[in-house]
Amino acid sequence: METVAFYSYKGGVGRSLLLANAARFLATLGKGVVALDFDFEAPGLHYKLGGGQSYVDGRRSSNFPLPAGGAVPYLIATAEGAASPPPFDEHMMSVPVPRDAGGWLRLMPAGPAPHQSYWAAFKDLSDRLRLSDPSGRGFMALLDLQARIADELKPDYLLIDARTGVTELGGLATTVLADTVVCMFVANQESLDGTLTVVEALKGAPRLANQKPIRVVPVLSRTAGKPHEDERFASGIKRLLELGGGVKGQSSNDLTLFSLPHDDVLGASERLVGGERKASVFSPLYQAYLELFERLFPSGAETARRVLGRLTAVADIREDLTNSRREPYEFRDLLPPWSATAIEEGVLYKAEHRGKGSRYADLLCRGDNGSPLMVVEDVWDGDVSAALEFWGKSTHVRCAVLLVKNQYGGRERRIFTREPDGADLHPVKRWDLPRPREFELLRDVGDRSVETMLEAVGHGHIEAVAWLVNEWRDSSLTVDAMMPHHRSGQWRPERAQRILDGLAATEDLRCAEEVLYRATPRGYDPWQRERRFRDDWDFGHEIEQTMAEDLFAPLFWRLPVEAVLKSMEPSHYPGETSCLAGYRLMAEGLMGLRYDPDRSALEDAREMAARLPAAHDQRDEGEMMWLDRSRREQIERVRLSEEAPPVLVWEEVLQEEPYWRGTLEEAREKVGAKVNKLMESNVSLRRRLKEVSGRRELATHGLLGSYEASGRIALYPQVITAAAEVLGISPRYLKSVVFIHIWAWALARESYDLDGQRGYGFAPSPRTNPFDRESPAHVTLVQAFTDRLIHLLKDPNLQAAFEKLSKQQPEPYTRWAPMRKLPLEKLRMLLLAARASAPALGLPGNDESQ
Amino acid sequence: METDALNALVSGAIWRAEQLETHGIRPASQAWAEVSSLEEELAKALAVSESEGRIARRGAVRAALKAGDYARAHALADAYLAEEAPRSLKTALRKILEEDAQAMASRFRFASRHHSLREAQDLARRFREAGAFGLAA
Repeated sequence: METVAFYSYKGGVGRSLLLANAARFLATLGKGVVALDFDFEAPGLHYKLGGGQSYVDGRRSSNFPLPAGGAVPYLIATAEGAASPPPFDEHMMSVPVPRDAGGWLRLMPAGPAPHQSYWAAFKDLSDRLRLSDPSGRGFMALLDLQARIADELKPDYLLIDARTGVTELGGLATTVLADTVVCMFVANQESLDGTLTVVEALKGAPRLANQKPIRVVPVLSRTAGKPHEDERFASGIKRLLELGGGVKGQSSNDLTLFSLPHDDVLGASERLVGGERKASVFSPLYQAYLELFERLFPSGAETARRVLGRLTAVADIREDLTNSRREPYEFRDLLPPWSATAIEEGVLYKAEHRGKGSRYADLLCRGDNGSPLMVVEDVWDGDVSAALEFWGKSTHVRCAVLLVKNQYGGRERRIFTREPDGADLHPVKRWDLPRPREFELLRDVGDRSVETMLEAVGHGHIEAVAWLVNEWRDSSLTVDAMMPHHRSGQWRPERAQRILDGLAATEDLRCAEEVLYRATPRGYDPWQRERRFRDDWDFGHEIEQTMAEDLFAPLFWRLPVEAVLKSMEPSHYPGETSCLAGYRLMAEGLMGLRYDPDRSALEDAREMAARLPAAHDQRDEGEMMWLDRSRREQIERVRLSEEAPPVLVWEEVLQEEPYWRGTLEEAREKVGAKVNKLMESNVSLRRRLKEVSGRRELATHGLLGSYEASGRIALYPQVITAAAEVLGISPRYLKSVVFIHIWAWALARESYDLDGQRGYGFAPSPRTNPFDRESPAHVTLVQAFTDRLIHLLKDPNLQAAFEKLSKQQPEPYTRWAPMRKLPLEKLRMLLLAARASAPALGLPGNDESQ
Repeated sequence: METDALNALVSGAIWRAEQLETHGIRPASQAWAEVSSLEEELAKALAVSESEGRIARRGAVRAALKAGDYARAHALADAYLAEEAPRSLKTALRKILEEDAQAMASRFRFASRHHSLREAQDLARRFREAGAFGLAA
């Protein structure tokens, strides 16, 4: 039996609470423990140990019956020479501990304090015990109590709550009875000085023949700051460390005192947490308790380490599961965490079906309907297969997280999952813990393959988009060839292409919009970039550029047009024009031009300012306003129009009046009602388009979409849908083909060539009569670039839609096929010519001399 | 004082102390202390060579122990053992002290298995001299 006395020079340091926790902790380790309340002047250990019943009037519930006696009556009876030793049952009680722990805990309170009978007995204690009597009987009475506990009860530990200050019994409990004295103090001079005095006395006190040298463990309690670093306490603490000892730091010379941090909750509630297996009791104070116990009770050190490791690991997992931090760039952080109410701790899980028995789960996570979805069990060095056998065969849980001892003596998470109706749990390669939404998103939360996640996107699970974009990034981003060893993730271009193709096939508009949002290069802020790629990527713009060119741009052209338009809304990207990456793929990648609407806007602004007499600063302001306006226009310039397209209006008006002459607006005015009627009836519209298609006059420009004189782009979704039905293709892809074609036109017009000239030849002009047509050469070129882009995008659906449409189109729209044979450079030259700037045509410029 | 008178007083004191002890009246120790004092006086008056003198010496020590005055009992015993006393007296005195120690040991039988009475007495002495934690030394 080892006797440990808990002493403090001043009161209120949490001494009894520490003792109570130590006692319970040891009992749950399977140890036999006797707790002795020797704080006769202010007894109360029974309160801390859960015997909340009052001796005075019996109020409050009690976990165990309080005895009539206690240490004071017992010592008096012994000292006065009772014929036979007083029965322990009258002076001690059993304190309940978890049944499966195997240990036990008995408490000998001081007596029936604060009942009057106690104080009456206590008044005479000194006279009756006669500690100073040279016969030694007072000491014999004390030693007899200790020896009887050792011989009869045979506990592993006797824990004594010693009286505060310098008192007779406080001194004897520590100097005579104890093998180890835990000296608690707080960080103030008074407490430190008194403790130092007592510790020095303890170290110098004579020992009995069969006693080991006394071990003193100074413990700094209720710490908030770093008293070690406070100069006022430095020398005192140093001396205490010399006399007692402390926690070894990284080097053998690096010693610090055991410290118990201040804990409002645990301290105020005086909760008994020692030996608790539930992670929710875990707190800095409890952690400090366990670390102290580990060193204080060497026989239980291994278990204490294990308990501490277990609690730390489970508490970490719990924290991880309920962590609500939102980092909207990582897949898991997009998913809401588990709510605290969805997690149960310390559950004895009974077999549900087929299996037998029960098993302890450190954490059990339930879904919204209460069904158990996931368990966390600390297996440590236990049988993993037995755990899997139970969770797999006897329960319906879909995920088991097992904490297993690894080769370094630490814990590692092993995650096992299965489908809802799956047979056995199988190991999966994921470290992060599944979040509740994943159980809805994925049949098997362990299967986060590209295909599974794409399937989830296909089902409208928007959260999977971020994961796929992240995976694309990890699979496709590599640094430049100069530093091949600097690579983030694994370069897997086929996988990246699979993800890209899968994302591009997204039908759900909300998901498609999310795809574009996630693929937006600007969505990756510098901090996030640094965190994820560390120094593998020296310059953020490399990532942004790669994402813009290889992910965003293709998706911009391939995803449903409605989502693309929605993604341009300023609510998503205030002040940004993310769609530029898409336009540049066409303008720069294919046409060899530079598309820079900001520059166009500024040039326009400067041109305008040059004409107006204004101060210089006003010009600057004007330029900025122009720029803002341009950006707004850029965002708003594409629209899905419900109006009738010009071709249908012209057709209607010519049917009524074959020799009619007038503008489009006049024509609309004339046949507006009729055309609107046609547009309202899908059947009529389809019939009309079938006729048009039969004549091979299904023009992209003017019928399915238009590039207006104002520079705005309109698509006619009703007409496109009807045309798609006629052609037997998906309206979604036809819409994209039209979108590409019209934008090719716009880009041919608005982009700059090397001479800084725009493509005036592609300038839209308002039609003045029904027979006005776009230049066939220009249509052919635009169609050729449309084909090139679709070819570049490698989207078979777009390709099919483009080719099918082309077959029903006027002749200029079909010439792309022979033009495929032309080298891109040749095509670009033709485009330059069609744009008709003077240098492009080879004409000498006015400023050549300059 | 005459030894006869002292004898009478001792007899009366012993009877009184025994009565108090028999009836469980607490301050028996004072009565035994009185017996010890009277026996001591008698011992002073009687030579060690006389049997009554030896009885008085044994009585003084035994009564002091009964009074719980361990220090006095030992002081008396030491003094009597220092006299040129017959071996039988010395043996008897030692036996009285041993019996007392045995009585203490049987009273505190658990402690006695682990510690000697002497150790407890040393602790008590130290405690008497230096107080709690030995801080008064």
